[in-house]
Amino acid sequence: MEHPSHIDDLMRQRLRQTEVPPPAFVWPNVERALRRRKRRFFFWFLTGSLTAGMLAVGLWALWNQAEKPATTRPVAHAEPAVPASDARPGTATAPAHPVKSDMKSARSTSEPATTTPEKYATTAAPAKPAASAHRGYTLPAGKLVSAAKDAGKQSNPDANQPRAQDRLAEAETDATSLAPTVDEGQGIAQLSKSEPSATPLPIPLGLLNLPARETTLAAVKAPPTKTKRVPKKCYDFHAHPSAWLVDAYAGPSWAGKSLQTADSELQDYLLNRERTEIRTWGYNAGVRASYLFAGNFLLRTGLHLDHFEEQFEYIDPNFIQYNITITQKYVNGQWVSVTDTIGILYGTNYLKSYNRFAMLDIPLQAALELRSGATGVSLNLGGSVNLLFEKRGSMLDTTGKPVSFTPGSGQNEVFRTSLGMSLIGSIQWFYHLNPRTRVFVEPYYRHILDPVTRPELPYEQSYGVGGVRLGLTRIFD
Amino acid sequence: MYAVCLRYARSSSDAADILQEGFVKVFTKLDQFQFQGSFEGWVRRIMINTALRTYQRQRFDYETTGLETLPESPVEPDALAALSEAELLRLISRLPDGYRVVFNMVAIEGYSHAEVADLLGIQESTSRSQLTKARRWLCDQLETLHQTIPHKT
Repeated sequence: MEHPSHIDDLMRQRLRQTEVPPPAFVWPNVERALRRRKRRFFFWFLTGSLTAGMLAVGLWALWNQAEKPATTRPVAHAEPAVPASDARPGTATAPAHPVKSDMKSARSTSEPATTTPEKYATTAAPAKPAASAHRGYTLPAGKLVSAAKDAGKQSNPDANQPRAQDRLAEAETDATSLAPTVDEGQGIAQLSKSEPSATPLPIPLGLLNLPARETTLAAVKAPPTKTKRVPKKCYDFHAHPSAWLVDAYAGPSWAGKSLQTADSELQDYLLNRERTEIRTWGYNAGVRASYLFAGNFLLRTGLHLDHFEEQFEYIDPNFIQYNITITQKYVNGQWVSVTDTIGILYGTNYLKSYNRFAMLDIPLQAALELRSGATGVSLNLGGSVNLLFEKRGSMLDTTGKPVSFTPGSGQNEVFRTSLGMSLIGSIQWFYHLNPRTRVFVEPYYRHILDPVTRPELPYEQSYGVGGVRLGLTRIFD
Repeated sequence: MYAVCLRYARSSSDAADILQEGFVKVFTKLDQFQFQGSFEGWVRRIMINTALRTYQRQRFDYETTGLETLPESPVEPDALAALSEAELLRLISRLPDGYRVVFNMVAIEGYSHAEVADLLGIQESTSRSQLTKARRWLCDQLETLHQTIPHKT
């Protein structure tokens, strides 16, 4: 416990319960600050939710992508050679009927297909050496959907059909092929990704009309139905799910203004402001870099300029102008200034000026891009931080007189130096001119979160800017 | 509450800022009031904490030793009685930041030096020396004012 000295006691007695009324401007400021906090909370809530949603969808897409190669890029492995004793003379080189049901049954009973080559035997097939009948390859995953449709061709191979070995060699050397293709006439089994199998499914090579071969089959082509067709004009986003996009754009814009006050005495002033300030069209321009990831998601940033004008028109019907002259006269031994009125003008004063506002911002947006052929749309949402807020022009002050609000004029500097944060949403429609170049049209709306006026003022002036961006996109790897 | 802010602030505009920020906190954290003490005390504590945080960003020139043993000048009660509350507040606002904060917390609010040290992140000895210097400074100022202000008859 402290031992209070004399001055402590005296001060405490005098000041402990002293009440001083606060200045009147504090309460409107508290009210405004509370409103601003609500807006900020809304902004961060929306941005956070959006980011979390985008991340969740991105992860989901990545997860799905990771699962695809197992079905779209099957690699066949050679099965260990079957002892020659298992081979049976007279084994068919091609099935006389589709093997789908047979292969299913072979798998379901866990019975190796190589043990029942005669299942597929036909009487029409010429006998092959035993080794070739039991040499086969297995498919790592997937379900056998179909086999040779034309069994007759298989049962009677002629000189017009290319040899299966040659086709196999082609398949092995085609390193770029991601999925197996099947020449149905050759009776090679097709794969489906819809039903993965847990164990490799052996297929007797005899079905493929293949001779004995010691080498491993590395890859076979997939059915063409599984590969995504990439339009000629479109960048191959399937092969390059990550890329950089650089945009340059410009277009018309429109600024919506709102004036608000809690002070009823200022309502007339704000009405006069709205009457005297006529909004006109402006423009927007910018450059933007976007990083595409997971095929369909983008993060965008860059520089964005919004420029718009307001026409200030003021008419004073009771205008009086006094024209005076001031002359120095020597009176009674000293110089004095003498003012003479040389004319008075009565009439209407008409004042017109163009108020200019320019806002340079750094946007940060998350986007979801959906493509269809050479065209597509992207949905963009995010925020922006203001770098520069330029303003010049005239407006009415609270007494109803026209004054300049240009910084440095010293008359009525009501606007803040920086706008702070904004919320931006846009929808882009694009079209590929060539694989790496797009044109786009992008309507957008930007809401400036805080009022553009200084916080201590008894009224608030807020803006929302809408417009259309017309631009070009270049895609880089 | 404005008087509390005036005591902790350097100027009336700073005090208005502190009051504004403090009331924003009061309204946004109203649900955290536990109804265990007086509401006024809770609001007062928020104002004090807001004031402390405002000036925490600026470094105080705390001295840790040397002034604990300074003899205190006796204060004439008339010297204080001659001044209005507004003048006393103005006098306190002229104290250097470190002196003013510690004097307000210990001498007027009744905080212990340990609590002050904990809240301000300084040593107890620093708090003591700041209080002593503040008292000394105020006594000198009151003495000067007492001599210059014409005495009431």
